[in-house]
Amino acid sequence: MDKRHFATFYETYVERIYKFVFYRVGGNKALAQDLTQDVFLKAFQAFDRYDPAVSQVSWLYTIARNHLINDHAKRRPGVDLEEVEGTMLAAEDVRGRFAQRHDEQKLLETLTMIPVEDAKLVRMKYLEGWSFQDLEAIFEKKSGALRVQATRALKKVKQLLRDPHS
Amino acid sequence: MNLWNIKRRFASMSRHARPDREFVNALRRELQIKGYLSVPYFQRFHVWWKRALATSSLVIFGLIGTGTYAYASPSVLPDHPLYPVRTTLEQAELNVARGAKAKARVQSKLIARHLHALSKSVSVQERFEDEEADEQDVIHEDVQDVVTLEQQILSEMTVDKALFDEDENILLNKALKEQARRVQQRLQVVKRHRQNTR
Repeated sequence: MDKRHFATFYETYVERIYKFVFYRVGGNKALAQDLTQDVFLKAFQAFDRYDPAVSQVSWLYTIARNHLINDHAKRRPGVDLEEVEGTMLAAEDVRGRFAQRHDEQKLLETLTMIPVEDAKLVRMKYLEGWSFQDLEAIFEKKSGALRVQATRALKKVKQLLRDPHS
Repeated sequence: MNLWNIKRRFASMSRHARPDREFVNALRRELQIKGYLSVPYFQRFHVWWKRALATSSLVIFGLIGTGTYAYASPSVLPDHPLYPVRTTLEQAELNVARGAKAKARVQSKLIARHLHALSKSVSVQERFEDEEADEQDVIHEDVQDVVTLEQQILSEMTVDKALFDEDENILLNKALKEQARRVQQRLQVVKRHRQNTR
């Protein structure tokens, strides 16, 4: 794809990619900024190989995710990102950022108690700001199905907030 | 916590995780320096333009709304904060009118509106200040007489086409200005009376 379009690409996705990284590095702002920068540098280098037929979101998400896995492997060898991804939000430093409100802290803890895919969907949709159309390519489901899944996941969160042992 | 509240909390947390504006700008600059972003002029400034356009639209709509209210509302009288806006707009309308005949027509219209506003102001005052009913009755009758008289004079002026002949324009202007002065004087009387009774 023509590299002249990269500017629009950057403006569209910089915030979402930053949030995506931010929540996966335990809320470390400096690290999130470094990794976001790396993701965009990598994306630019691969931009002329990008096939417009493929979803932009899916393509960029893959770059960001792979970069995070590589970075994570360097920092914590032997631990798979997939394993820690679900528990990231419960990390002390992330919680510290949102701990001003007790209910927000509880909400983050509750996210770790629902199925991993549901938690990932809720996190990407409501915390990171991806649209259901964006998420179609990542979850390989129609946006209608994702909408239903997200509502059900939120209902589970609501139920767990009421009764954590349910 | 209901579903709407849960979504609201997530939105609030999402706002906390936004990248700093400085970081986004610094990264953009770095990508530009490295030659990664060769941004066309309209794209580089599109965000800035969008904001500027939104802000200026809000300001323009606000000004238009205020101006329309000041110009059209009969409650905008000399003691109203928007009264200077009204007089400015009326003056502008008068200045825009081409020729003495058109100016005379505009002036007639403005006087008629002043009279209408004056009449309405008195009736509103009367409605809300029952304890001062006697005084209000007197001032109301007084002003109403003036209003009726001036409306008669104005309608005669409008009906009498001779007054709109070019030769008569000076006389007509003088008459209208005199009527406007009298309206202003009556308005001041009402205003003073209102202040005294309070």
